[in-house]
Amino acid sequence: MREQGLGHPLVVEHLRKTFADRAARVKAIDDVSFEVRDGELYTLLGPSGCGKTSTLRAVAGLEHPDGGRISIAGAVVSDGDGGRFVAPNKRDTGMVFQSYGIWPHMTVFDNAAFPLQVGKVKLSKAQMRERVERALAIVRLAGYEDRMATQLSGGQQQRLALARALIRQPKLLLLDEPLSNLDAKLREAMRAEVATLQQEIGVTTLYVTHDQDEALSMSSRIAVMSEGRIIQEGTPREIYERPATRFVADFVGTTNFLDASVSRGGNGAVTLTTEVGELTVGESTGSWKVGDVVVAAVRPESLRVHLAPAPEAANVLDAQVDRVMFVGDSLDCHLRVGSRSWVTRQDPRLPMEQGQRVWVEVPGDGLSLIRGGSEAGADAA
Amino acid sequence: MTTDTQHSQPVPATTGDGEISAPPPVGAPDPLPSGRLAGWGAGAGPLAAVITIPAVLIVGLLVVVVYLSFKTGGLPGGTFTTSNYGDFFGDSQVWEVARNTLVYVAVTLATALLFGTTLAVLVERTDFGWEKTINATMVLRILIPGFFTAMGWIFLFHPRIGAINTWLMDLFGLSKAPIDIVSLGGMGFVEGLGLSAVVFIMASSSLRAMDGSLEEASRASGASALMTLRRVTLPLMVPSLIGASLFTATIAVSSLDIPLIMGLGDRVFVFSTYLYVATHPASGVTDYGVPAAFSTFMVVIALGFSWLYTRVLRSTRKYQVVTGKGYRPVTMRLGRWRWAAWLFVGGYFLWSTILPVLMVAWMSLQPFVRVPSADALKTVSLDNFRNLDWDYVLRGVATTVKLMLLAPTIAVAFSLAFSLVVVRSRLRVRFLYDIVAFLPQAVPQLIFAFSAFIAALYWSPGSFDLYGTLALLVIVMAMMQLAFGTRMFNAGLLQIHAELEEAAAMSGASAWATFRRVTLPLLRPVVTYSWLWLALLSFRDLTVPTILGSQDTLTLSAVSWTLYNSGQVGGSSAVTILMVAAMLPAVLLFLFVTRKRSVGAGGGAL
Repeated sequence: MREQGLGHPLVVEHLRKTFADRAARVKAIDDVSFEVRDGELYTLLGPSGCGKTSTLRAVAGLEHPDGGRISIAGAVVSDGDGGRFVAPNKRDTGMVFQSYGIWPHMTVFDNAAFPLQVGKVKLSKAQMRERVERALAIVRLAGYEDRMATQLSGGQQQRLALARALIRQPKLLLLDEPLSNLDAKLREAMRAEVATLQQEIGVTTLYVTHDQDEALSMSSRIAVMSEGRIIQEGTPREIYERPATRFVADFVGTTNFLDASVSRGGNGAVTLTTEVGELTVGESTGSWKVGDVVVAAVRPESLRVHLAPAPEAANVLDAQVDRVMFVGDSLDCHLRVGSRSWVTRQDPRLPMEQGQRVWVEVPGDGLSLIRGGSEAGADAA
Repeated sequence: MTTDTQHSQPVPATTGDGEISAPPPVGAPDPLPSGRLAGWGAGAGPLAAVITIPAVLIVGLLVVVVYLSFKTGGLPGGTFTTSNYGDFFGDSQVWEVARNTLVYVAVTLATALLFGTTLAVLVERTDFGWEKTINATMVLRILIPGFFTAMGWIFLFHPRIGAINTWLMDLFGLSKAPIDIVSLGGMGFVEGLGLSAVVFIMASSSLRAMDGSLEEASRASGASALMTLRRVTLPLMVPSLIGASLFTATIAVSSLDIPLIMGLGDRVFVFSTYLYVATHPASGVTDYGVPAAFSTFMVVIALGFSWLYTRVLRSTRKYQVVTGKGYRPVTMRLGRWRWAAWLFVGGYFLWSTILPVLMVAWMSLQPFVRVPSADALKTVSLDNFRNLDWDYVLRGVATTVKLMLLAPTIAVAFSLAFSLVVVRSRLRVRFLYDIVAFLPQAVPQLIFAFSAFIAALYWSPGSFDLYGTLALLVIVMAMMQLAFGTRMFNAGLLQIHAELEEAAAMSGASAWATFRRVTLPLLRPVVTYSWLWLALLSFRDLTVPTILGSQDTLTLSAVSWTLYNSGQVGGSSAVTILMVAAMLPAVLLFLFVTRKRSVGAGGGAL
């Protein structure tokens, strides 16, 4: 089935890796398979310890997998335990580390030129100079060649690391939480910059992050990981709007949940019965039978709060205001909906007070259904 | 004594101030296995094979001692026996040596801890000032040969020839010298004065690493400065002071110079002088059996203490106080007690260093031992220098120079290999190498030297006679220095973020290219520092050269001791003064090279 995918820049099949943690064996990577298409920025997203970095490091060759196969640009670089294993320096990849890994004892030029200097193909001085200057220009570091690397700011070091990773024109670029060491403002700027650069160069990229904003804004596709496994794979929009599990819904963005059971099923439109009233779901993936126990998930920004009953609107639930927090550009409202606590952001001018009764409108197309009872859904099943 | 030792070494391994490391990762990285497969991971196997040679040598020397303790006469050819232990435990004279050693070490520790800790607190936690000067002087103090201080103190306080004693007797008309330095207490005190510099460096680096906010919290809770010192600062220092005590005690047991010069004449023996006499018997009768049993006993004690210490460390790890931020809490103001602090610091340097140096210088100018006086000034001359057996001295210079160049070079190369395996490889046995490299610090080096002495004497392979050669001296010295070197490189490597090496591998660099282009350049400051420090220690050491040296391989320090031992006090003083003079440029170079880094790390591998 994956045979036709072998031409992809990266194919990972049934990757496994366990670590010894004192007496126990921890499954860091538990049967992970995915492929990254040409020119894509593919993100592994998940909380710390989910196995995303281990997966990336296995692709880089910095970790020895226990099982599974990794192919880069059609060439198998890692095959099972004890099988073929290509050393990291022999793989056609470039990598940016979390700490950048900029060598403090070298100049900016030497840092960027290093991959060319240690490479098989010997370049003339002039050729090397030209390649380095071009790479530095791409990351807007032209003119910094003779500075010591330590004289660069965090953001500049980050860009230098990117230039170094790209200078060999690798088939695959690996980015390991490259923005996590930057302060918040710089991080947002770099997010756009890295994404733009990646698109311009068109280099296929495997990106690892625990930051959902980064993942959503930069990726072509995202794989959400938890406990060594890929829980859901899809475009940022799919992941955000149609989380397949409770875990994904919870991890990516803020989500309000409500226990429900299906009272009218079928494909597409579904009607739910909840403890605070009926809900109609405009469109849902999968087919649902009457009596199915589900969890309805809705994003805070989809909700509309009415201060008076709104009979003309559909899907209106009774709620009580638990707490209102003014945060400048909006109001953060904590609502009690049945036995659940929901959050929502509303217009800052909305006059709301603690304890007040309100009516929450849940747009049918903003609802997604997750199979299982209230505590279920954390598993991929 | 596990892989933890790299963090728990008694001697601080402060290498630079993080300038060679990449910015530490923040955020929440995935947990990684402790030993990372670095860029040159492929080289770990061959490296481990190479360092197995010194590792076997170090362990082998200890095994030999234990083996010989079960042989009649302590000779390799002897038959198996346990009588050595019977003799050891039954011989009242040997027990007296054991008791003497205990008293001597106790006095040493008390002196070293008192002066070292007080000075460290003064420098690090009060507004006394002079931080740089005191730190540099203390490093210098470590490098002053022990026999130098011992001679100086003899000239000051010997009951018969000591200047102070003579003056006091003249002044008060006493019939008996008021102070007897040629005693166990005296020996311990003088040894402790020297080792207080080691305690100082360890204590002050522990104070520097301490999270200052803990003390400020105490002040903010209403505690006075003194109360804070007593209730917070000192208790937090306890683990590192225990480490310093263990380290200092091991050096004191091993040290030969002070007990030789201050005790041999009056036949006050401690463990080190006991072994010296056993290897340099006045009569031709040799019995290494009981000394070997005694040494085995000391090895067991030393290893036991090290094991206990690592246990203590592990339990105190719970209260991690080290931030590495170098954040210093508000300092205590001395106010009207400043004069007392000055008296303490001034008195310490005056008595521990300045006066002994002046006395040795004085004696080097006198034809015979004379108390300084106007009368004696007339007999001042350079005759001692002129009449020196220069041929003999120059041979000492040649041996010393060779030793100073060769031993640190070998030690640094092997230490680097040890650390690469211990810190960076994923070999399952890497912790074993860590333990082995730690042994020359945990066990008195004297015992290694003693073992090497017998081994070389009786196990020379074929015509290749190691006994009394420079090669033997260099090898044993280098093995002893492994402990210090490995500690330095462990700390240095831990400061180099593994991603710096991984980045090289990801750039296409081979294992060798990664090491040559990234790891080694980043470690260069540690290489320079360790090499210079070890070279200076090779210069001052008397223990290993005295046990292992022959007439052909006398080092300068051994020359000085030989002259002293044969009654040529003036000549011996002259050689000692020349040694210190020769050492000065090297020390200045060391201070210059290391000026940017904290003066920590000293002490090691004395």
